[in-house]
Amino acid sequence: MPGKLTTQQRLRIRRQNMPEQDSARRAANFEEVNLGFSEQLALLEADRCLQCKNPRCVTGCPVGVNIPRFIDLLAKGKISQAAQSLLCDNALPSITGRVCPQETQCEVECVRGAKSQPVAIGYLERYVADWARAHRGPPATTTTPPTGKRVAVVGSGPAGLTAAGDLARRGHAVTVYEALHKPGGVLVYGIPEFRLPKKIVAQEVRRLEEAGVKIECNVVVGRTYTLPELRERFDAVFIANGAGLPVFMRVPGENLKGVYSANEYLTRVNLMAAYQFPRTDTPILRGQRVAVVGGGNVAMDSVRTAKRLGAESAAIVYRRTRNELPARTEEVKHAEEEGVQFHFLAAPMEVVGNDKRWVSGLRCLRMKLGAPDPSGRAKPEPIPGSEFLLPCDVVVVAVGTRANPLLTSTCPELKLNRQGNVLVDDNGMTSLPGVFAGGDIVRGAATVILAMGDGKRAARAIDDYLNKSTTI
Amino acid sequence: MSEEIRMFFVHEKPFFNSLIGVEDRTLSRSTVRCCSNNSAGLESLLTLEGLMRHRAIATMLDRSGRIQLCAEMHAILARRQLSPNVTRLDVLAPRIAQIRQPGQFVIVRLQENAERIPLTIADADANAGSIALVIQSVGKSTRELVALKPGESISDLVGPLGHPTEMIESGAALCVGGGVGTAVVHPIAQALARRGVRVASIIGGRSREWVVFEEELRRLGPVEVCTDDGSYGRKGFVTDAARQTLDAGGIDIVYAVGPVPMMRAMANLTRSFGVRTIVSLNPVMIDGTGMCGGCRVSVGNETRFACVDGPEFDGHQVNFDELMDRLSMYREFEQQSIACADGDCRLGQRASSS
Ligand SMILES: Cc1cc2nc3c(=O)[nH]c(=O)nc-3n(C[C@H](O)[C@H](O)[C@H](O)COP(=O)(O)OP(=O)(O)OC[C@H]3O[C@@H](n4cnc5c(N)ncnc54)[C@H](O)[C@@H]3O)c2cc1C
Ligand SMILES: Cc1cc2nc3c(=O)[nH]c(=O)nc-3n(C[C@H](O)[C@H](O)[C@H](O)COP(=O)(O)OP(=O)(O)OC[C@H]3O[C@@H](n4cnc5c(N)ncnc54)[C@H](O)[C@@H]3O)c2cc1C
Ligand code: SF4
Ligand code: FES
Repeated sequence: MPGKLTTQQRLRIRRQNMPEQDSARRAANFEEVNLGFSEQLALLEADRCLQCKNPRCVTGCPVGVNIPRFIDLLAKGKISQAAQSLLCDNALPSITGRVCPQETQCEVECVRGAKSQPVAIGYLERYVADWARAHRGPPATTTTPPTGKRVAVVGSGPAGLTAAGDLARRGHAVTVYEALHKPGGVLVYGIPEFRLPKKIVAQEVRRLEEAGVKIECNVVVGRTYTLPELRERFDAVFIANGAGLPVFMRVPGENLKGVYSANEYLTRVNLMAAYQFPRTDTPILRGQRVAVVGGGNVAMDSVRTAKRLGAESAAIVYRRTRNELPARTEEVKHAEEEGVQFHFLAAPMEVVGNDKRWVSGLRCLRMKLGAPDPSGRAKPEPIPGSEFLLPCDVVVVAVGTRANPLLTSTCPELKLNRQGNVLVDDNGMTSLPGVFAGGDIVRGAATVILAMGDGKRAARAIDDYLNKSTTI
Repeated sequence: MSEEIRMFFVHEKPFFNSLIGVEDRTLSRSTVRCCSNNSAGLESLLTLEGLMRHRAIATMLDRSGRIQLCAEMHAILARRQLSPNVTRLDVLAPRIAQIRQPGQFVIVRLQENAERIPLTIADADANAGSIALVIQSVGKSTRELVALKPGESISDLVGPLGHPTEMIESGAALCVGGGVGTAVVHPIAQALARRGVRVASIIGGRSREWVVFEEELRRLGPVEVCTDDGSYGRKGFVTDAARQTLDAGGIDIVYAVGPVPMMRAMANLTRSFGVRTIVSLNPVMIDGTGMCGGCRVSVGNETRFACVDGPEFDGHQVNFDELMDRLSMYREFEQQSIACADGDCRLGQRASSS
């Protein structure tokens, strides 16, 4: 019987594994790798939770989801209430359940991790959220009367979407402006289908629209409209345009044919569906040997995409070791299972080309780990004379992104830090009254959940701001 | 009579029938306030007269005896064949028509699964809410675009993108256009002339029928036409004519837009004269917002993103060889794409997996 287990009994249950597509098959298709828990697996896993009085997991969650509460409701078979509980803490749990780095957030804190393995909080979140998506009715028509206030949101990534939903619920008229032709931000152009099905993002977007949010694609703020124009036409503005400027390595040969930024590579495949070419119109070079430079989620997504595009070999080139890989543990595991190679302690020095200026290899230098750098991570140092050539025909550069200056450069009054990120106060308000910002444009490349947290906080702050400006 | 009437632009066809317009035809001198479920058309004031000039709209207006003012966003208002391979489309895009500046471009995506391709805004009529795209049909996407008929529409159109052209305020400018590049030079020449700059143009084409925008440029100043085969104007390349003009002196700046080899030749020529030269680069683009880096070009040994840092650059600094080379990156795919469109997808598939 659920709920009646003793702690001893709970401790005896082992962590349940996520059912997956077979690794050989999935490395040749773009369908989702994780298949999701069955009801049985979910209930079993839910029973592993000890319902701690002071749940450490919650302290690890950037938005403080009440984790034991939804797991308890799930274990008791009250899935509809579990869903309600989860959704009131987190607007897009089907998404975060798939992409959050649980192993460094909630799960790393879980007390069960000390003696065995932590509760699979992410998998349970995904299970409850997917159930809710399949069973929910239309969104509640706003319970709050319209306030008559208008808010513009710039960017339709997780920060923008979360803020838009919360603001609409508070009765404000929200318009989201998106530069691309499809809303979702990194969720649609960056993170691949096999990790986050686009159908889920589309459903969440449609739901927002049904709740009254207006989403306008093909509007580049800074070009189609300037920020000062938006300030005139709206009572408040939320800037959530992400950190979409790709950083290159600045080594010779980076403009050879066959070198992509990860943003371009993934955008071609995800947003433009280049993997279906010539059924779709956007092409992509399908390398036989693809080298991906970097060690984060973006690098893992790129290298696994290369595999799926038919590369014989797809390799990660990373200048530190496996222990320092910033990517989610699950992505690294999946990549390994799919046959991705890893070249650790290697730093590219040059992209080498053939006589027709197509990429033919990556010249690298071996590194060793030295003293910790200011971020606390061991600093890679080159080993003199250790050069080697990695033959390849496509190179994908996934060494980071920065704030895109397109919008901010059209509004010099907006205060930025040295990296070009927008500066905000504790409420998420920028140096311009009524203009708020959040997500990657403030934090630099961060995470989906932090972007959503910013959206939520900004919605609250914007609501306060608008209420105040009414009473004045 | 200048009562305001409402005009709706819609994106989704289902909305189409429910949205309405005006009471009667006598309003032809009225102002139309654009309402829309897309504020790219919002609050722009258009004249009905301007709109009526476009028959595409007029046919859409008439329904059950009353005028129904209704147009889909990015509807094709007019289509004109300029040369065997070059077509002019006037497209409804009121916001862009109002604020675009010379040198800027849009990115269009015709329909689901189509490519995003950049096209220069060759002209705009703020009153009619339209922009002109002049398109040379070179591959699948451009071929599909020029096949559009008035009344049909483009699914996605974003802009205006890129930096406006660097202008001079007085003096003399030489505008050089090759092929469809002449359409890109035209708005620049227009803006220069409006500032009081003396404008002379040299335009080229393969043969007589390939010369475009001659008449429009003649309104702004003297025009010399060059054709490769001598069937019209002077026989030879635009660079030959440009050399003479530069020899004569008095040119403060040159604007050169056309095929990459022509822009390279122009830059080499003007370098020896020490005359500043602006060229408009056309690398492959996707987003047009600086997000992908696919449009990167080398200018003065620095990597720049043409969509946000350009598309116009100092021609004396541009690495044209690299641009040419990068433009050939998808050549094989372009042929497959066409083959597939022509019904032979098998061929395309085979090539793409090889
Ligand atoms: C490939 C990849 C994989 C990732 N994997 C993970 C993961 O597994 N887990 C995780 O937590 N995080 C991951 N991240 C990071 C995460 O996606 C981001 O931190 C998050 O999406 C940031 O959200 P945002 O709302 O701030 O911006 P974004 O998601 O970047 O959205 C910004 C939106 O604004 C639009 N925009 C930009 N400029 C303008 C303008 N001027 N006018 C109008 N619109 C504009 C953009 O087109 C975009 O749609 C990944 C990132 C990438 C690139
Ligand atoms: C800023 C800018 C302004 C432009 N303005 C005009 C214009 O006003 N009129 C006009 O006719 N053309 C213009 N072009 C070029 C036009 O975008 C390409 O001809 C078009 O994309 C080709 O697509 P396609 O599928 O028909 O041909 P494809 O078969 O795909 O390719 C044919 C040629 O076009 C180039 N090309 C392919 N895809 C792109 C892309 N996404 N972006 C740029 N070039 C590409 C290829 O390298 C090749 O040389 C402009 C390009 C840029 C960058
Ligand atoms: S820390 Fe682990 S066991 Fe404790 S409440 Fe959270 S998930 Fe359950
Ligand atoms: S087109 Fe993507 S950065 Fe220029």
